[in-house]
Amino acid sequence: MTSLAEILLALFLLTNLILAGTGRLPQAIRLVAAQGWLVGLLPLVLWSWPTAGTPPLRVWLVALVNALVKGVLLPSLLAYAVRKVQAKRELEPLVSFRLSQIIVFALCVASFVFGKCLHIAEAIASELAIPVAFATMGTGLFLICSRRKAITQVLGFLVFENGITVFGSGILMEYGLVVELGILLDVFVLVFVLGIAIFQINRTFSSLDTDRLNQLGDVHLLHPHHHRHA
Amino acid sequence: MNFLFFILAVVLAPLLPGIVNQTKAFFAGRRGPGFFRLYFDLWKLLRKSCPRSTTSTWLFDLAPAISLAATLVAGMIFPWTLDTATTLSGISAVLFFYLLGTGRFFTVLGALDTGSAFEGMGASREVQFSALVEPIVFVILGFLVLATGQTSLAGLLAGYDAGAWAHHSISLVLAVLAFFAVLLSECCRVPFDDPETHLELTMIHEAMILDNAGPDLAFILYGAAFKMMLLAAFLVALLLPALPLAAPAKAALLLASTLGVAVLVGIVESVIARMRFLKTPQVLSGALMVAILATLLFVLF
Amino acid sequence: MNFDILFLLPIVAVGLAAAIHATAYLHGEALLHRPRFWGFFLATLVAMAGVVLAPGKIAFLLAWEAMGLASAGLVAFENEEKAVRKATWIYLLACHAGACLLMLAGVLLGRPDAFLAAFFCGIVGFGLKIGFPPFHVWLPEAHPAAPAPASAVMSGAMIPLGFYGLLRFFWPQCHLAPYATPCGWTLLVLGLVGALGGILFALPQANLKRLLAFSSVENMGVIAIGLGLAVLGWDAQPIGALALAGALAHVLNHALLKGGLFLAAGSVLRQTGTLDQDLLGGLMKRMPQTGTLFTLNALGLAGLPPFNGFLGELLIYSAAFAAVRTSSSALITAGFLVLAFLALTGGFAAAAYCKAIGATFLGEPRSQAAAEAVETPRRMWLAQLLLFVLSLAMVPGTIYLARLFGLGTDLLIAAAVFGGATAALAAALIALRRFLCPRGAVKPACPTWDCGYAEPTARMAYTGTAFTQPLADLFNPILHARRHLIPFRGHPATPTDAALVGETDDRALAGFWRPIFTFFARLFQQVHLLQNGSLHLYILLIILAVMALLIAAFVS
Repeated sequence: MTSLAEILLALFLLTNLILAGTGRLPQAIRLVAAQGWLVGLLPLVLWSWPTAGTPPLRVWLVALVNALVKGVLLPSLLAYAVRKVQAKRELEPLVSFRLSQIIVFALCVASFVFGKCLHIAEAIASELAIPVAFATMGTGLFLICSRRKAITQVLGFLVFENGITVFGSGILMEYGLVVELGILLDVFVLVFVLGIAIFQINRTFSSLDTDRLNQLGDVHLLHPHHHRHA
Repeated sequence: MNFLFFILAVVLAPLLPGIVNQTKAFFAGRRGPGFFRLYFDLWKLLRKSCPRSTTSTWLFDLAPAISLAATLVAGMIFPWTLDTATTLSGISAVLFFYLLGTGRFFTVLGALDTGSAFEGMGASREVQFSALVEPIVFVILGFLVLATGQTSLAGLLAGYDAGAWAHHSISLVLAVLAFFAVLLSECCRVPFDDPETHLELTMIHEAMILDNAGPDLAFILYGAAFKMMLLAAFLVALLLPALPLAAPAKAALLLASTLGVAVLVGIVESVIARMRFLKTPQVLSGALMVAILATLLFVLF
Repeated sequence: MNFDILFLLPIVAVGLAAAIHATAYLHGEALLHRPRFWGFFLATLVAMAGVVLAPGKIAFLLAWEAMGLASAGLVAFENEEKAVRKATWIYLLACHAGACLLMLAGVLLGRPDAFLAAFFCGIVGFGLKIGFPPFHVWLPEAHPAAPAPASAVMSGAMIPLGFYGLLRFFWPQCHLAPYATPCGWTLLVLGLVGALGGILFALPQANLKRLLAFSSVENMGVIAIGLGLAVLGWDAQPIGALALAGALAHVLNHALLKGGLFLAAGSVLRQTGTLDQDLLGGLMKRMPQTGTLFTLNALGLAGLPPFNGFLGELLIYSAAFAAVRTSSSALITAGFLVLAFLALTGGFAAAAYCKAIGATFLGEPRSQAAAEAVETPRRMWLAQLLLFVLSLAMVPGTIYLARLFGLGTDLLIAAAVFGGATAALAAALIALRRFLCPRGAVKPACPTWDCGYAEPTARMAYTGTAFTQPLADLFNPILHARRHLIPFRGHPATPTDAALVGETDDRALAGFWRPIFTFFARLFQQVHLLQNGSLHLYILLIILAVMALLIAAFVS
């Protein structure tokens, strides 16, 4: 294993680790954007250039769309949301940042061991793709579970989706890409909806904490509490 | 031969902080103090007297010299020519890092000897960071043993051939990243410590040497520069595969690359800010995780 | 292999030094108390020598039990204090629990099929003496309670005898094929946890002797790491030989250096009346010999290069490197665990000793008692000097030891040579400094730079607790330090003193043993139901017991 692909995949691991340890939303968004670019580059890098020649147009297209949507469009949407609702930090995560980092590290190790035991088809593009995909998906899920702010949860969702894409481009080189475009559309719509939801949550509760959603009983709607949360 | 390049490293070491500062000045659009500032500073300090606090004892008196001596001996055993076939083949990498540890131990004791609250604070932070750095270093050493099959310092740094280097480049990149964090922390650079801060409360290394002056301060400043030289050389040697070059060429390449590392440090300092002290252990634990990941990748794939 | 001499050496050396130290240490004691000390002290030494020289299992056990009892007498020396009585009680409990298990182990050892059971009994039995976690509870209690010469002997020479027992009874079998894996991993894991846990708990301790006691747990952990690696890697030489030589060298290093440190702590206690590092400080000026020897011993024990402690650690590190180089995944894992844990332990040990030296001996005195302290009688620091000189002799000693095991000695000789080079270079640099700044210019003439604060007092200086606070906070999920603020009371214009008090208790006692003991106490309370004074019930019980026995006899 030597190729550029492995370096990209290792960068996924690094971004996961940093993402788990950071509380600053702009930085987290930048990291997810970086992952978006990595995801975009991945099909091109995994393409076996010497044997298969120049990749067909659809591979270029998928790479471009992935990079643009995940690396530019969605992050800037989220960054706009962050600016708009003036939330800078994930202040009180349910799991402390230090512990989060350890957990994500453990997820990485577990997925390495798991990926080593798992012998998927020989047509696999890179040995590292599967473990990294699992680790990234795990990180995304963990972020969704352990953070309070809606924005961080959206980020977690995006990371999770990145993991799926890595999985897809790692195994299903040819057909995966078409499926991938469909998923991308879903994600785009979902993030858009969530973005709107963030504004709504913020307007109703003056806070982005999804914990507050359990106040959506009738009583609370009649007498909305205005908790200020920095 | 090795000793010759050690002498060269000794001469070049004060250049590194100069390069870092010039890089930072370039990014900030300033003229900067010049590449050779530290040489002038050292010359000036060597001619000054050293006042002593009435609180201090022999430890404060001897600490800078012992610290510098330990660092210099660590430089003496470093394989500058990246060659296993030297007289140094029996030296363990443990000795290298423990000598640096001795140097640090005495710096800390010297700081505590003054009885100043600020110097105690600096010393406290120094031991905290260095204790957390230690496992990163040794995991990387273990990784090198795996990669090269050697156990001596010279073998670890010269051992792996180009094929293995290409095959495991990814683990290597991760290990180098982790060691870069070690270098920044050990040399008291941003984001762990800011050598240019004005406030004693935010200092680490600078706070520990508030009371030193004259030749003592020169020893300390020179020791810090030389330690940076050593760690930068280690970093470069970690990255380089076994090159089909003559020993002098390799040593020259190594020394030249350390200057490049200094530029890199300068760039890092220009683009990121110093981190809160409470946050730094997390960076170090992250570096440890990266080092372990590098090893796991090496073993599993 | 015969380890007798190796373990006999520290008994003689530390015993001698402690005896010299004690002649002055006991000076203030009432005349009647002194024979009590000497009686128990000599009995302990004899019993310890007996443990090593005992010809058979029975004699060994007898000597072992005598050693526990005699040293309990030493722990109880200042029995007018409640804490001392409590410590003695815990120590006696640990001794007897250990002895019970050792008898069991002795019985099991005779049967060929029960080796592992015997080994685990032995691990717990000897572990209670060695201080493997969680059996180390008596160490941090008994060491501060005992008089310093007694703690020196107990920590330096007695605790490692547990390893002697393990080696003597289990080594012949435990490094062989079917047993090597379970035995080796048990020792290794106990060692890793002990080393890191011990030093973590040593770090925030304010009481100097408690700090040293916890650091003994650490050192025993390091020795156990060496033994574990030796057992695991005996078939893949030179791992086994390197690790075993490292462990044995560390036994000797620890004995000499820790003995010296405990004696120095005793000197501090005798001259100042307190062991609380937050109340000490500035003793290097007032007790220069004691302070210097403490510093040198601590340097050795922190495993830093010019001194002998480094050589022992170097051997263990080399064994770990050799283990990483093999192709067995178990050995690679073990090697990496040892590297990471030992490195972290080393960093913490340096921090802990920096704290002990800095808070006790450096800076300005933080209390009247410390300010008025004077140097001890010459005998007391000569005893420490004796141990330090002997520990320097361990440099060639370690090389000799490595040669005994048939190891290459290049590594050690290079380390010793370059350690010497460090010292020489330091001397040269100091000479250069002297030349540049003539003596007059070096004379202390001004106060410490106070960063613009007017009139700083010694109470403002960093205390030992403050020094270790960042690390202690970082590991608080493990340490569970208690910290309470005593706020000032009264009118704000005339406030009373406020204080922040922090204590770090032993987690094994509070979190592990106490719940177990409480559980059993509650369980045995239930027996009271049977013992209610009613004669009818007793007769019924007797009948039931007889019937049960009859049925049992029939069935079998």
